[in-house]
Amino acid sequence: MKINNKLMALTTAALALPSMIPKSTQAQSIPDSYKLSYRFTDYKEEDQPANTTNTGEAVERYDITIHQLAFVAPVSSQVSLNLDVATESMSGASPWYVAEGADGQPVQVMSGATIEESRDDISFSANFYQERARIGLGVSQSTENDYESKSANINTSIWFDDKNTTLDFGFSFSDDIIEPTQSLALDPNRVTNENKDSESISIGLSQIVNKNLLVGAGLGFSNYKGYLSDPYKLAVVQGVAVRDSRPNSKEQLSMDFRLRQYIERFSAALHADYRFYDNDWGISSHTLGLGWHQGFDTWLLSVGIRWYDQSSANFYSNFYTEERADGYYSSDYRLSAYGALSYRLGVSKNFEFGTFKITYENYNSGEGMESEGELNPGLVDFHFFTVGFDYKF
Amino acid sequence: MNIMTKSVAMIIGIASISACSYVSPWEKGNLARPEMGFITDPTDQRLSDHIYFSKEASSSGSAVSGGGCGCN
Repeated sequence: MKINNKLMALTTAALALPSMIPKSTQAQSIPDSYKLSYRFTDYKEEDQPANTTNTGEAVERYDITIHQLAFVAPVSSQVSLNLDVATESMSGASPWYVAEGADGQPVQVMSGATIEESRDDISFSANFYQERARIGLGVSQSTENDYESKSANINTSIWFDDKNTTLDFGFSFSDDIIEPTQSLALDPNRVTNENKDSESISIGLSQIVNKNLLVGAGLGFSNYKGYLSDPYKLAVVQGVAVRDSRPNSKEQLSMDFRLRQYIERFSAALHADYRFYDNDWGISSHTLGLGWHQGFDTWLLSVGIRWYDQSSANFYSNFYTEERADGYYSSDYRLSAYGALSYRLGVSKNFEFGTFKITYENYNSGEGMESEGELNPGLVDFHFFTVGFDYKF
Repeated sequence: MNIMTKSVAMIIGIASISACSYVSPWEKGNLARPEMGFITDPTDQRLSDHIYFSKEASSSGSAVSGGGCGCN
């Protein structure tokens, strides 16, 4: 009876996000073939609407083209190597600061010129499998013309009870260098060289409940130190634009719960994920995801919805009518209270040699449960379309 | 910390399920389906994680989704 109650609690709490929980029961053994994957993604943000900008004209926001390549190589009966490479090309304008409009409403001031930049990301990892455990080591690097991030991680899975129970531990750290480059002439007080680093630990547990039900829970803690402000953003204090300025440390906690139920009657898998997030800037959030993956012979049709809601940082404001004693200012929409709803559609077709797949996602943000007063005018809406294949050999 | 206590309680809750459930290896056919994974497609997941990470304040606290600024 107790077990039933706990299961009820889990199912009602329900569904989640990526990252620290083991990938699936398949991950309990070394991949059975080499796999090469490619994805092309076209990401587009909706224009900043004319009635929210300081100029009264609509402004184009970000368009991003992304190519991803992934290679999985089980090089021996115990060792598997993974390589992930991604390159992104971005163009568009982004929110610069929020000003007070003629009628007292917040209006968005966008970065003047269209920004053109790119980001390259490379990750390498090695997994070592034993009968009852796996150990993984990974390194990654992300490079932009004004930002470089290096990170490393170690993680392990330990299997108990004939692999019905999996315990996971992970540790990662990163070291980032920020070197803003654009238009210093327009913004002479911009920082030129800053650093930040982070450490994360995570623990996860997953359990096979019956032949159709898998549940998992994870807990993660991260600590960030260094320059955590946005070098390109400003905030308006008593009518004067000042630098975006945030604390130089941040601690965060996240916990997530996941459920996977296979429904034999429909040949479908139901996904339910929930994540709670909290940091010491005052932001907490809830993320709930539900997905249905319907099999038809060699086809798989997937639909999913994701609901997100966050509170604001305690130093955030659209604009400031008084100076703050702590000197922290930010009008970044990411630190505001808002909610977002997205939906996703996917189709994949299995062939003897692999899989071909297409995915579409649409994301809209707006008022959230914690929103008070005027919303940040820079909240983003976007959609993206991904097409790709996995080739096994 | 209250959240920590709740989380630990949840994890213990899941652990206690194991005391009463046992599924034999030959019964795991459905569980082994790709669509039954916690992460069904690691490559797509990397991208989604990075997009959410760069557009929202929250992240799950691991380096899985790759770094980068996402400032814009």
